[in-house]
Amino acid sequence: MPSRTPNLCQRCEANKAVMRRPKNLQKLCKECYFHVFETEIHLTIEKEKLFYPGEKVAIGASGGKDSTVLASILKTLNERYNYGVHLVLLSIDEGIVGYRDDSLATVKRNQQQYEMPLEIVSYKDLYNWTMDEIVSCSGVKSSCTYCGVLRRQALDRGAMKLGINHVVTGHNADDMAETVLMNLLRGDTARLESSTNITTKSTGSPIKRSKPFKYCYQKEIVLYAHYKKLDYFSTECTYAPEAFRGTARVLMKNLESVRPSCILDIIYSGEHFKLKQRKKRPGPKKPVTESQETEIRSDGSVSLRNNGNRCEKCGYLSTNKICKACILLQGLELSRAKLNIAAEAVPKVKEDELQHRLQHLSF
Amino acid sequence: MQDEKFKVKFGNSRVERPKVLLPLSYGSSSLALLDMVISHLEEQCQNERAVQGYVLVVLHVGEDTARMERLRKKYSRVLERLEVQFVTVDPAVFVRDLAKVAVTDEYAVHRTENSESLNLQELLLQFDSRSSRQDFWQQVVQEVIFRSAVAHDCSVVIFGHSMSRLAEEILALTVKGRGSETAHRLTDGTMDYVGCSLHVIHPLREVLASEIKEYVRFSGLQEMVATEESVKHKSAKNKTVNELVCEYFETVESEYPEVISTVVKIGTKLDSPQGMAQQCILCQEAVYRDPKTWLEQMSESANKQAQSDVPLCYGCLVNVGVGGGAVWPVSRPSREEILAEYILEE
Amino acid sequence: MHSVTVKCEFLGGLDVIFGGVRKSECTVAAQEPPTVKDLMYHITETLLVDKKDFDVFVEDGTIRPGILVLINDTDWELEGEDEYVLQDGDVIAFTSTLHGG
Repeated sequence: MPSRTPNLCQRCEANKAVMRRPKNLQKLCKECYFHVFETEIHLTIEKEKLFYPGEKVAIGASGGKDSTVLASILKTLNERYNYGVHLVLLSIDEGIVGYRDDSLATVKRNQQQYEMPLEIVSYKDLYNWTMDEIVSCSGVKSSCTYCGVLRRQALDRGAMKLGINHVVTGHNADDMAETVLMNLLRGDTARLESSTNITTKSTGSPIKRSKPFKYCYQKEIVLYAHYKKLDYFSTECTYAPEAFRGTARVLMKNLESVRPSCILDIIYSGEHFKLKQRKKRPGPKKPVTESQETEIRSDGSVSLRNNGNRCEKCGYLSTNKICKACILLQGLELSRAKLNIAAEAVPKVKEDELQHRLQHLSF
Repeated sequence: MQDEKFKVKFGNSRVERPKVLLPLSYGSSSLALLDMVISHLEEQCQNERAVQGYVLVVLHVGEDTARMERLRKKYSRVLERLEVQFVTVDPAVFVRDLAKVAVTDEYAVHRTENSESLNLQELLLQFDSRSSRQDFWQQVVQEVIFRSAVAHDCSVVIFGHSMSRLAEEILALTVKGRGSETAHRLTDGTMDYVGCSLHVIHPLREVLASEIKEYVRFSGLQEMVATEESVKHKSAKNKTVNELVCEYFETVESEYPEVISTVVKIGTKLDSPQGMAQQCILCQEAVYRDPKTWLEQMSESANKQAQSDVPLCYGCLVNVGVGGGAVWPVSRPSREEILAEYILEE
Repeated sequence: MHSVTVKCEFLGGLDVIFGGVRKSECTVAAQEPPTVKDLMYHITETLLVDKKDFDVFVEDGTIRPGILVLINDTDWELEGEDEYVLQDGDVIAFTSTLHGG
């Protein structure tokens, strides 16, 4: 019986190919794959001028595959190409029992493996709420909304604490493509144009965020972690992602099987999205100068134009009078108060009766 | 189609009547649109002194002349009075001026002369994925529609796309790396085609596909609908991007009914990117950013010395494939050529 | 009857649907030499804890997109995917790429 022709690496043409790249279907052996993958990330870093020598950079580390591979690769590239950056691991402890404790243990091992300093900031310390408490208060449905807002700020604050102005995260091409689709599916005009930017900065914040894995396929990151035998943690967050995002994720996976390059294709499209300029009606000119304008948004937040404002509640930098995290937490405090009453074991009937009586009280 | 120019004319303004082209695929949407336009025209003709506001040309790109005969029969009592013209065009007219376009491993694009003479079927079969074939077929049909509009002196083209179909196209274009084309392909307005101004309208953009299905049922058009090959039994790998996106909307529609209109709404807010654009040699769409430069910034194998000699858009580059090539028409006929070709045909 | 014994690994969080089992030895028997597809059904019949999770592993009669399959550390795309004929001692690793980063 003739032996099957072995799949040879299309780059070195010497070793057996172990994987096929989704973006161009090139077959590569392990060594060539490592080289190509690392070099491409270096190209992105160079092209986008992500770092400067002497810069302190915090790696948003969750213990998951993306951030673990990011830490490993940045360490490798920093040494190989002499970026001269100081890398620090920055982790957020959301306070999710059974999920975050295990993943933080992974990050602590990474700290040893990659010889990087590690800083952990917790929701509890920053906001006096753990995610578990938040969920018990507001339900699982909106958990991602809370967590998203709080994590963003927590990363910023953690970085500031360390005197760092640059946070890199492990967001990969799949995440980015998913965001592009989600923006379309949700009609999110505010994010449509900028969601494919490699570097972002929220207004008012001194912290720059970038995504060196912007063009890296999730599959390649998983393979890299697998072949390099990296120590990463892989359990879904206890509070699974909202159902609608899940549907977009499934669609993307199906699309990928008919068109392996589609993830990059979506990013290419996303980079071209431009909104029409809103037509301004020529009206009487208002004497108001821009700096005097205040905008009241639909969520009740009041915007202040000039940068460097601080949230009236927590004192953290914010473009609004009260920062987004505080607005969310304010809502929660109200329900926590209610919860405490309930926790005092007032039977339901009694509680109603109490309410009734309260209503008739007069001062 | 609330525009003044489609309204009933009085006196001798007959000359100003626009000619409107309605591309008919024999799908539910275009049949429903045809039915609505015919009753609109009928209404316009009710007044003895009034002259109908526009002239309708119904176009089918394909070979299905039998179906067109049946359709003509169905509307026979009004067609003559309404001056509706039915045309079937063989998509083979698309095949002309073939050249070979090849993409090197370094993403450089080269055009070489071609000695093969391939027919349309053979041209499409060069692409092994159904999705790429469908993408090119869609372009063939669109080209033939616009050429026919020019040939028949139509200044308006009305597409039967439903809201569901528009949402599908917006998402599918994005997935195919053609996001920059969304604005001019799917928003209503005038466009320039070989020096002629064409006004493109999607009158059914507010109507859901499910609503159109009901309309077709009520108006007895069901027997006219060309049954599409069912997607369901196909293996996932053999589906096209459009089919997958369409399925997606069908599944989320019940739980998230607002999704379709949301996508269409944001789609119409999109603008074409700014800046100088080149024209893709295969699909003639605008290329705002050279795909080669874009791909190079993330490719270890990049070779910046390799130069392209013709522009190719990102979507077509993916369809042709890195290291691949395809024979394809590489130019559009001029207006004069279109007119000459069509006179020969009729 | 043909019968082969292979080692299976469930990584990237996929072990959740197999009761936390990360490694397992499977013996697959079939009329024809067993393939990865046969193994897939064998796994769903013998290792899957909750039958409701069938769709997490299988879609349209093959391994669900988003689960990376490695046959002896090689991407199954290079080995004929689910038609690959199993050999005794093969290591088949299933890794979910869908879980958080």
